[in-house]
Amino acid sequence: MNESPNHLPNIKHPESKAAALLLVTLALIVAFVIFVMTARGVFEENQQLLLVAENSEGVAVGMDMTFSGFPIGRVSRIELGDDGKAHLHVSVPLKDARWLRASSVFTLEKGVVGGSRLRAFTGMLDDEPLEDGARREVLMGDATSGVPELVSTVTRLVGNLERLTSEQSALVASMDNLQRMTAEQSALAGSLNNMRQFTATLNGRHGALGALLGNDGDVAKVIDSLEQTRLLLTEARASLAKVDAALVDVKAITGNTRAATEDLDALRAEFDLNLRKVSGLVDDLNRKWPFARERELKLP
Amino acid sequence: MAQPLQQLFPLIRRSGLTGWLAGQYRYLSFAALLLIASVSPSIHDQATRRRSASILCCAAWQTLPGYLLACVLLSAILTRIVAVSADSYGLSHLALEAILRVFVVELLPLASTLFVAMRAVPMAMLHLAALPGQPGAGLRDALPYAVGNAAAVVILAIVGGIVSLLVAYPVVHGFNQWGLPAYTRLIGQVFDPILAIAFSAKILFFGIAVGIAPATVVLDPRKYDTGQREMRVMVRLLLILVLIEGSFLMLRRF
Repeated sequence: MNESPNHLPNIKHPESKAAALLLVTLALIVAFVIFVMTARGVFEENQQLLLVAENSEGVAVGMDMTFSGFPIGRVSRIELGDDGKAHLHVSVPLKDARWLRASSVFTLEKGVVGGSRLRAFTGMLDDEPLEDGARREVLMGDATSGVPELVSTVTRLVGNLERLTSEQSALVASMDNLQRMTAEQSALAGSLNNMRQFTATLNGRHGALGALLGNDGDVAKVIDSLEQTRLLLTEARASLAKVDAALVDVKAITGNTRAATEDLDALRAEFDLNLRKVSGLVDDLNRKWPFARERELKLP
Repeated sequence: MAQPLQQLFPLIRRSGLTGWLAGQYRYLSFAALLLIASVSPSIHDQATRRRSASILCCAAWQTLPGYLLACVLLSAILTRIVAVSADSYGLSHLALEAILRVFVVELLPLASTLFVAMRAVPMAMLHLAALPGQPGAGLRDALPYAVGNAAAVVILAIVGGIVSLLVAYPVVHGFNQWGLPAYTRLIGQVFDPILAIAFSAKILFFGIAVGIAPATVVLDPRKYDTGQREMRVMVRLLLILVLIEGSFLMLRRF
């Protein structure tokens, strides 16, 4: 390296180059500052939104508020309000404020990994626009809050599973019983075989009768018996018809008998009357007949 | 208290605690004088400005291409590693923020400082360390090194940081413009006013350290050889850098 008389490296036009370097650096600094200010929304017109949350854990100044995943605002200030709640002041650029409506809902979600997320949800985009300086409650959602309860439940569940699957558990005993029941030599298998044979017999030529009696000879006998029974029944039906006719005659005879009996009653009453008259006549004769002995008159 | 200090520091053992404190006071006074002189326009005459410009060109102009190339490669590789690692854990949305906060804000200023120091210290040793029997260099001789090296650190840190920001985007999003709004917003989020002030102050302090530490070689005893004196300057510089970095880490907690 060439060196100048004052022991420094010999560089052509050092002052110009140094000035150029400094000017470029200064320009870069100014450009970067303007860029960062633009990125932070310093030159944008904003409208303010006050979100009231139970607490501000995980919320930092500069944090984004997103709508459908896109940042539309940022937290500009956090303070503890007089009501003991966290007041999150959110600056929303006017060009993005159209996504916020009077019916918009705001949530603060705390994830397991990373910081909290402030989200806005608008169900009715044709609703009234959210006014500047509006105050809204924030719905809190904490993904980790349910973890202890979840762990406790899972622990109980695992305990129950262990008890269920232990060797002395009822489930294992039931499974053993089921296994024994479904073994090839088991009673259930035998019953199933019998049932299968029974159904096969039911589907056979003689159906249920064959299944009940077991052999064709008995079935033939039963069928013969049934045939004979049918003939007997036919004859019995004919006999009954005759009996019916006889009964009609008997009924007529009975009617006649009833009439005769009634006549007999009248006859007997007349006979009694006559007999009393005869008895009175005999009494008169006895009184009138001096030698007459008292005789007992016997009625038939 | 003096006994353990004497065991720890050989200089204290040789000259005593008072002598050691007096020596440190000399260094601090010299650093303060350099600092005041560097912001005093009357001292910067034509010759001093020319020497400052030469040292700045030597530390920044000549090293700029190599430094930028190293910045581009390092930032591309680191960004790719962080992006792939974050993606494998489902945290890809945090990759760029991690790159900005760790590489651009923390590592790059330190890298540019060491890059300048590696060139500035030997040059200062060559030109400021007086040989035994020769008259030593004075404040006016050391001033161009302080100004030139400090400006070189600031220039390299700023240029390197912006180049890294430009490289990180295509590595993560590719060459399309659809991720630009989110990336712009992320840069705005990371460089909040407090971090921007801390970042600027850190670069400035690093520059001052690299400017002053090599210049203090004019105060070192002449009995040491060049290698020992260079080692003393490097240790001094590293100690100052560690103090600055530790101070900023502590300030971040408050």
